[in-house]
Amino acid sequence: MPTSTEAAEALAAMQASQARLAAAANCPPERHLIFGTLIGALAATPALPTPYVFVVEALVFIGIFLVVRWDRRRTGLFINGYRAGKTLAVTFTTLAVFFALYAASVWLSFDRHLPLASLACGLVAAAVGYISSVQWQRMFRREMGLDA
Amino acid sequence: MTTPKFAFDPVIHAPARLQIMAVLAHVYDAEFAMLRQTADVSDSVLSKHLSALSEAGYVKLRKAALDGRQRTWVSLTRAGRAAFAGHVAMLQALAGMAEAPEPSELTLSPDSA
Repeated sequence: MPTSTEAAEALAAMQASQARLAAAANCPPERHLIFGTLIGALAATPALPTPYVFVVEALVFIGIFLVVRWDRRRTGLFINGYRAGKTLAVTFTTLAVFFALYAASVWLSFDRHLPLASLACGLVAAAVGYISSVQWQRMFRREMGLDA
Repeated sequence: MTTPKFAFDPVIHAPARLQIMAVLAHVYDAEFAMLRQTADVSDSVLSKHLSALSEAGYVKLRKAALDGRQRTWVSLTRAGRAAFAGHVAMLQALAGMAEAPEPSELTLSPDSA
């Protein structure tokens, strides 16, 4: 059984390795931008003629696959967006806003026949995706003991 | 979320293993080279630590190709996550005891009687 001093030292070493993890997992700005673009493209798909919807959706999912592969290659890690912790609130808020924007986009294109309004939803979703990605990383760094 | 049980775990307690577990607890999986950097140990030492953690059922090792090279990816199992949470809770309790004031340092406030 460790002494209280040894326990404190073990916790400090553990926190140092978590801080190294957060530093290693840092994303470049273009990573946030790509995430926002993918989210925005998905929200804007109802504005497109039906055959193109499937093409863009397929491209978005291929894009997500490539981003995960890039993350793994760049950092040697994969961090699940749905991981337990303070970042989960950012994940669920982003999902809620995205689904609201997607629903609005579907309604505007199919019921109101306003495809340009759907594109606007896509632009807003892209901005939300970018900001959420930055916020998620900031929250993760803070949780790992680094200054955001 | 349930409160982790306090449990000293000798398998996790070695400093390098604790660091490996601390990283794995926050990621889906991590590559061998990344863990080697984090724990600041050699390939052979990391292999031994991962074998011990794997034998205890705390980590899962997976081989996968990336950029045409075979790499080892490591992830925490459910048992490993629970054991790590219990061990950290125990360390925090012990470290908290060190920070708590000695009984002789405690003073009674005038209205505590």
